[in-house]
Amino acid sequence: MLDKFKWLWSYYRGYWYVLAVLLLLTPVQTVFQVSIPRLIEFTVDFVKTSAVPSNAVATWLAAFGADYGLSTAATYALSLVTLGLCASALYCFVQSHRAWMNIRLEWAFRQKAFDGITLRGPDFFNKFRTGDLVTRMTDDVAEKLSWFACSGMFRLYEAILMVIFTIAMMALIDPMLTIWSVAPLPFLILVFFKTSSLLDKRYERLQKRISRFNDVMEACFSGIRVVKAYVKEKAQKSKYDHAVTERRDAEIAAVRTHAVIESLYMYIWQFGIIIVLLVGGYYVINAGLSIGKLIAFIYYVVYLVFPMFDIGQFLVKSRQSAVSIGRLMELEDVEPMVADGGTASGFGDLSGHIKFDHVTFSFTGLDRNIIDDISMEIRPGETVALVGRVGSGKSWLINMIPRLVDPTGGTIKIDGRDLREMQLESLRSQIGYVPQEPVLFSDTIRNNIILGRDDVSDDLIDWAIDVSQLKSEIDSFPDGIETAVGTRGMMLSGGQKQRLSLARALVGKPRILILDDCTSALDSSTEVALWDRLHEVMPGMTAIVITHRPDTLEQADRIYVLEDGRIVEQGLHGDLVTRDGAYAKMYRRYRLEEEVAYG
Amino acid sequence: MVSDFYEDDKIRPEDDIGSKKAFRKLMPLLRPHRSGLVFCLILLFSATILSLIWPVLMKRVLDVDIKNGDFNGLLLTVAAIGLIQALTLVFQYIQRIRLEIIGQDVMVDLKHKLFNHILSLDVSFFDRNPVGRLMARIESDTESLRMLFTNTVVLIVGDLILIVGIFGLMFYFSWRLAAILLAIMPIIAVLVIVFERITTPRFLEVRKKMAEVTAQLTEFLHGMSIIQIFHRGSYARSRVYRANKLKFDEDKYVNIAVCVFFNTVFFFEYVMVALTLFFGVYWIEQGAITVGTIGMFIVLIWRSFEPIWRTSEQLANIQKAIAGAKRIFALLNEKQKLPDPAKPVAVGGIEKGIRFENVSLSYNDDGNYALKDVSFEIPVGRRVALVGVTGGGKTTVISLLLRLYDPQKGKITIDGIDIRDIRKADLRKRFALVLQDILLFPGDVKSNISLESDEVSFDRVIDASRIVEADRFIMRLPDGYSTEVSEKGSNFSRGERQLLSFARALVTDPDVLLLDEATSSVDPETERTIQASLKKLMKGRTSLIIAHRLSTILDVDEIMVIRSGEIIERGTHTELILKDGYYSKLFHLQFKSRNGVVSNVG
Repeated sequence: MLDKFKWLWSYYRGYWYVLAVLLLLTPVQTVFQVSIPRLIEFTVDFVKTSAVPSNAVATWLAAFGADYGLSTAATYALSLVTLGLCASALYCFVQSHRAWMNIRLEWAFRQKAFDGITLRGPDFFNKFRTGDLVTRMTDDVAEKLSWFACSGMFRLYEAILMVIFTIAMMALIDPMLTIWSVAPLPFLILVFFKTSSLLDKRYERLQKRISRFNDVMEACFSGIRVVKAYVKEKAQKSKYDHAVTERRDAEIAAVRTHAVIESLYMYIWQFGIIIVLLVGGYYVINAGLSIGKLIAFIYYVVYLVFPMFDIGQFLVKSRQSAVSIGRLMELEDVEPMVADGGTASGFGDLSGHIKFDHVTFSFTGLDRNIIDDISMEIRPGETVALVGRVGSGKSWLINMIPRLVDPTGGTIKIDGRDLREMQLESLRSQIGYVPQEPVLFSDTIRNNIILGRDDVSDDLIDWAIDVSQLKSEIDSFPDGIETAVGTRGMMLSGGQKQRLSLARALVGKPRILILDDCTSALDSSTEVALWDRLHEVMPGMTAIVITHRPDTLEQADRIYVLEDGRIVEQGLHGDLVTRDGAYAKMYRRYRLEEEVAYG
Repeated sequence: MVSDFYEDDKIRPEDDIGSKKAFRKLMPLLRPHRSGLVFCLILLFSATILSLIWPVLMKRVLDVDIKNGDFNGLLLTVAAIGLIQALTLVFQYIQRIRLEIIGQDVMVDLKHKLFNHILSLDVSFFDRNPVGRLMARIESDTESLRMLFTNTVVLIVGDLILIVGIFGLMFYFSWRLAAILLAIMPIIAVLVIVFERITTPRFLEVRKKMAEVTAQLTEFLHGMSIIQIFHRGSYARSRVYRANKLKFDEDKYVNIAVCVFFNTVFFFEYVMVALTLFFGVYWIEQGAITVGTIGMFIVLIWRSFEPIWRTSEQLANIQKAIAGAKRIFALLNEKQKLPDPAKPVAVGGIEKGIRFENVSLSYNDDGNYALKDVSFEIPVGRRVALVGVTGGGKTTVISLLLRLYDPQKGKITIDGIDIRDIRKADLRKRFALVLQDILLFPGDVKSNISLESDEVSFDRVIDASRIVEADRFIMRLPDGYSTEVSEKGSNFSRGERQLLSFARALVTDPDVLLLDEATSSVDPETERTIQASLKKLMKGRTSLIIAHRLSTILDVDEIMVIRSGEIIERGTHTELILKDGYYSKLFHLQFKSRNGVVSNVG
């Protein structure tokens, strides 16, 4: 719990002004508010006795009004309005600050969580699904946490102050009557604690029923083809109706308990008023308590109620919010897999000489190596191809070059420098990476290519588009390069997406180009044209390619064949084919595939 | 810029029916509960009136009992107050529970209606709407609607009674004072209207901005790998920052407007108390009213602000519920695109066979044909296989046969009858579909095989399981056929799930078996079990198989090779191999160049 408060507290830093307003003005506001019943008291007593009440403030006010020619009644009424205005204005000020802070914190929680996520490694994304992350950053933050983070906390503060000041004010008027009137308070607290666990149980059961109900729905909708094909709509409907009814019953039971408790709660505090009327009445009759004071007391008893509700609400919401805070903290708990090392430094242009030295890679808790003792050397300007079955480790291998993951053993060096000693940004800015599945954002073609790199010139963009064989197609779009590609690029064809993704990599003028099987949607002739252009415009560029396209393999400077994280064969295409080993088999298969798919 | 990402908050303009109409459409749902509602209203009326009695009794305490120094009278009056308050609470309690039950029942009806409607829609609807969205419609939107319902009845009716009652009392005890206080009301009414006008569009704007934040988050989380590789974290962060800030700016305005409005209104509470006191003093001196009346007026004034208090707490919920109601009705507006025929032809068992006649289908009707002019025939008793690469149109054939979609051109007949002339339920009962993504439903093994059909006896479930050799592993389960299936069947292996789905198909004893074989690999032992079971399943039965493992179809009667939506080769396995065409290439791809690893061609 304490760590959660600390976490919350850390967000308040930098908002000293708001904090000061809330901490200092809330008591002032409360004092204004508890003063109002006293003016009512003065007025009533003034009427009753036709004399200014024997109270220092009351006499001073009456004298002050008289100076301006106002009657005592008018003075009191005006004072009441003035005080009411001050209290309202001040409360409005405090409340606005709370509301502002709520949404400011909501923004901060979300932004910080997202900023943190952008630095996480693949293990993080294996652990959390996108939907779950989005829920944590929207629903948890906006619905559950935002109100609590400021309003919840400071309404508790306000409630406590209100209780203290009200009781103090009452004691100032009549200590004995005060003790009588707050007598129901302990019962109220007792009832609250006695009943809250019962209520919890009821709501827990409801929660279970709700998730069962959701399960039924989810299974039915996900399996809609089975349901329809087997004409089982009726069975699904009765199952669903059953779950709905169960849920209804649980909810009614919960509301019933809730309502009983709340009625009890209400009755206990209304008893406060009854006590005030009875005991206060007795005092008026026998002990000379003024009627005005009695009315003020009734007001104060009412004043005591609302804070009680606020405190109750705080306790309920604090549990919910603690869960949400926990869910956000969980996102921060995962150590980043890759970080700029202490010795990280910038550097000039790379030549693209890559050396893997006994590299291994595994996840903690995995009993085998995903990459197992791989050594290889790639010289500047070479084009190297990686082949292997799904799961052979080739994607992990190339992911190590831009340091999406770091090897768990061995080193990778570029131009003789350990990758871990390089600044991430400088390293990645010199690598062009094209993934298997093109990732596009709902933005324009242009913005998808530059991805916010503001140092990219228009000429460079044109050049990248040209090399990627996209020029004629983009020119045919009505808005050209400013055409919006739609959600995840749905306006574009598969091949266009792949080439756009390539243009994005090229526009950074990379020294090292990594292509992860990214030309599957291109036909053979486009693919060949693409490679010709690439070699022509960037002769010195090192290229690492995962591919199963025979034409590409034939042209590679060297081919590495991976199996279970190890290199089993390497060499030129021609040599490997004559050796008739693993590669030769794969190549023949690729040829057939090519014919089946494109031929 | 963010397009139709979060359609959840977007309603097509033709479906946007406006708040008032949405409420009107809710009314019919209330009709069956008329008597219950009337009962609730009577209770509500009584409770409200009762709750107004105690301020009058308080006046008696001040004006009569205390004035006369009559402690016994005081005791009596106070006891009456205690009694009346208890009674009020009992009335309120009963009313609340009754109303809650009605609200729950109305929502059960609505949920029932929604679910039935959704289930009646075509598969293409489910293609467009992710499961999560449909669940949100049924669960969250109806919930916010129910909360609105239970609260609005109190809000509108109860508060109306309260206000009328309060002013009634005020006028009864001092019409002059009441008239002065009533004069304040127009000011508050104007404030409410102005507030409503200003903030309603802003509230919508906040929701829109929030949807945009969600869209940005989702998009960048999906594409996080690319963002990281290009080291463009700053780009993603700044885009999210911008969306986040826009939402904050809009929300800030709304929140402050709410604070200003409610505090202004509550300021008028003080003004009314001050007016009461000021004029009260004057009239007391004249002997027109009493101190008790003033005390009572003060209590009544703060009770008259209760409705506004309640609204202030409910404000966010009201907005949510209205949006929810609109989305629900938009969903109920969704039309079924493949209606049953007006005069359906009754069909018994299939006697002759199935025919595709020049069938073409484009899923989005955009000229992108998944099937192009396809014709073939499956006579009764034949086993036919469809092969070809992914996206070639194999699954489309099965979808059309089950009438999950209708073709744009051509027709499909069973024993010469166009399937569009047969009721969908009758048509589908002829078939048993075994899908490649084997989905198990929550429930036990038995209900997953029978799909909870009452027509299927337990004996048949056991028989079917035995035939496909599923009973062996079922009997080993802790509770046998009563073993609960965990979420989506994760406590069963792929092979086991496949066998269960075979049993599921067999139990219906279909005329035609439709099999969409799984692409993913299983170990050789399981593979052998599956193949053996499959043979038993198909034995003597008309079957249409979409094969990925070509070993499944070596002995079928006919193989049709589909490519880009067209049938390019047909014949038996031997014929096609001898022909040395596309099929033989596919076959070699799977058998010759690899060692038992399932290819991704399929």
